[in-house]
Amino acid sequence: MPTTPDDSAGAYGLHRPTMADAREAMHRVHGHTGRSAWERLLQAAGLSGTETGDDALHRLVTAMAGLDPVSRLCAQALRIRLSSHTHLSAAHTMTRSPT
Amino acid sequence: MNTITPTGLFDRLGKPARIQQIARYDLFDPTLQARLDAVAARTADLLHAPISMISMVLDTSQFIIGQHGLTGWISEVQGTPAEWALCTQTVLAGRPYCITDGTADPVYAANPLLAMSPIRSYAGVPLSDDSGQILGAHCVIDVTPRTFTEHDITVLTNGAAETMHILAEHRTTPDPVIEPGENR
Repeated sequence: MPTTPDDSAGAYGLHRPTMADAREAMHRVHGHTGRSAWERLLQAAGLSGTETGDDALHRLVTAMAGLDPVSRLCAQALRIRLSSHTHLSAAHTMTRSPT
Repeated sequence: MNTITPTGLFDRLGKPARIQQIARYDLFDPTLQARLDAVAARTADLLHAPISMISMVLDTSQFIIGQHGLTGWISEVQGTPAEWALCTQTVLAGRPYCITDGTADPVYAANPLLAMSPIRSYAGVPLSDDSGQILGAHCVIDVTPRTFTEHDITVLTNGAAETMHILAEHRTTPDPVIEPGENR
């Protein structure tokens, strides 16, 4: 995955996904089994859930994609948002840079 | 764009029963994507539209699983944030959804996708399977204002039916068991 752009808000108001967003998404799509799914995911990723930064998030999303079919969709949605943010932030930075 | 907050939208799209239904299909199979690209290409050709897509609308993102004519970052990323995706509106509506001229429609004045691309008009129909869940949409996009006709919607509906037929061949799991009281 691409490196972290320094502008977390990105262009067009698109917020870069965080570990908290990933946790919220797992709870959302798994419903009443969300808590146990999140705990299984943290165990699979070797994370505590308190980490910050893109490296931990990418590790989490990679583990999420291998967890089960529902989690894989959750991971795909997060990947699309991460990549969209990266592309748009880069384009936004270029258009704002003096030539 | 609309009065639903992103969190409210994500909760609506991300209901477990709906996501479980989408998860029954192997959407990551390159064979499937190639077949759906062909469906999108035929729809685009029949409707003389530059872009056609087949998408699953996940909880926070539109996931494009078949397409014709897409370029740039959306093609590379294979999706868009759900709150920007026009196909989200088709899924929420649960029926054909059209935009004649997005730049003249105040509903879309703040949509970044229309601000950063030449998208002007859109027509989409829902993708739903035997569960009754609306999983995604099949659509065309044009770069000029366009009033879509009943014939256009019929072509899209036929493409959606073919899409669901193809998807049925890529099911990986039987019908999910919905437990009593589960949020549908």
